[in-house]
Amino acid sequence: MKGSSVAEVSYVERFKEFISGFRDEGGRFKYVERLRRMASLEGRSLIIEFADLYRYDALLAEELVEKPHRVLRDAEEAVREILELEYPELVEKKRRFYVRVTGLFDTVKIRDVRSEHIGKLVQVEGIVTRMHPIRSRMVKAVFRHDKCESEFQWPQDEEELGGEGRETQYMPCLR
Amino acid sequence: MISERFKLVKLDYEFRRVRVLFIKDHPSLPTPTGFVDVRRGDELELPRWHARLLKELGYVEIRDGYVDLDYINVHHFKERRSSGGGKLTQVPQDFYMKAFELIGRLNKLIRETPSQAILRDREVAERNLIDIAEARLAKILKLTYSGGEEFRDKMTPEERIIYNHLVEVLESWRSHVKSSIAGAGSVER
Repeated sequence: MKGSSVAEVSYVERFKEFISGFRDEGGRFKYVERLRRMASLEGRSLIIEFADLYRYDALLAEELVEKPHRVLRDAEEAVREILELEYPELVEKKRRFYVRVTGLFDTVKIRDVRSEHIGKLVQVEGIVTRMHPIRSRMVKAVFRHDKCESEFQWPQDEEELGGEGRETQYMPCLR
Repeated sequence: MISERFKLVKLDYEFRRVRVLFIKDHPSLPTPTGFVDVRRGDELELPRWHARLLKELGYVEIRDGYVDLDYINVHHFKERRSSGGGKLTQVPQDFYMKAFELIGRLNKLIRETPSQAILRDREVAERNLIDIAEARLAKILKLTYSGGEEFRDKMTPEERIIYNHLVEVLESWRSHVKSSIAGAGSVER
C-alpha cells in the first residue's frame, strides 16, 4: 500500500472486516465462502452485493459510491491480503483481483447521466445488443527514448493507466 | 390530541386489505360478507390485522409482503444523499408502519431464535430508522417555516400530521403578533 493515507489504510481494514465478518440470514460467512469458491475456480473477481455492505458498514458503502476509484482499489487490496494467507500461490499467479459491486440502491437511466456523476459509482440498466471480441487495454506503457535508448515504465510502481489520460509528459533522461 | 391522530393512522394501516395465499384449508373463514370455505391455494384480500393473525396460525402467506432491512436501508441511503438539498425524498405512504412492523418481527425473532445476524439487523434497523425520521423532521421543520405545500405529497400521513400541527402553531403565533399590534392602542406623544 505505497503512499496510502490513513483513510485508505482503514478502507482496506474495513473491507477485510466486512469480508471475513459478514454473515447472511442463515449465519453463514457469505463472502468468506464466495472467496473460497473464487479461489477454487481460480477466479479473480469477488462479487459484493451493495445491500450487504450497507447492512454491515453504511458509511463504507456511501464512500464507495462517492469515491469508487479509491475505495475499490482498497477493496481489491483487502481481497488480496485475505487470499495471501490461504492461497499464496493463487495470489502469486493472478497478482490482481477485482471487486465487483452489484445491486446499488439507485439506478440511473443512461440518458440521465450528468456531470455530477463523474467519478461516482453509478448503476445503469441496459440490454446488450452487440458484442465484439476482447480488445486489449494498455495498463502500463514502456517508453524508449530515440536517442539515448533509455527505457522507463509509465505509470510507475503498482499503478495502472486508467481512463483518466494520465500520459507521461516527459522522459526521465531529459529532466 | 396529536397522539390520537397517530393511532388513527395505525388503524387505517391495519384495516387496509392485503392479498394472502392460503397454504392450508380453512373451513368457515369469517369475512365481512359471511363465512367462506377456503381451500389451500386460494387467494383472498383481507384486512392486514386478519392476514397477520392467519399467518401466525399458519394458514396463509401474505403476498403484499413484509419488508426486510434493505427496505429501510434503501430509504436511509436516499435520504442521506439528498439531505444537503433540504428536499424531502419520496417514501411510501406506509413507510413507518412497515418499518415498525419489521422491527417488531426482528424483536420476535430475537426472542425465539436469537443470532448475531438478527441482533445486528435489529440494531441497524433501529439506528437507520431513527436517522431517517430525524433527517425528514429537520426538512419538515424548514418547510413549515418556508412554506412547503408542494412537498405535502412526499410526506407520510404521520409527517403530514406533524406538518399541519406545526403550521397551525406558527399561524396562531403570527396572528397573535398581528392582532396584538393592532390592539395595542395609539402611541402617546
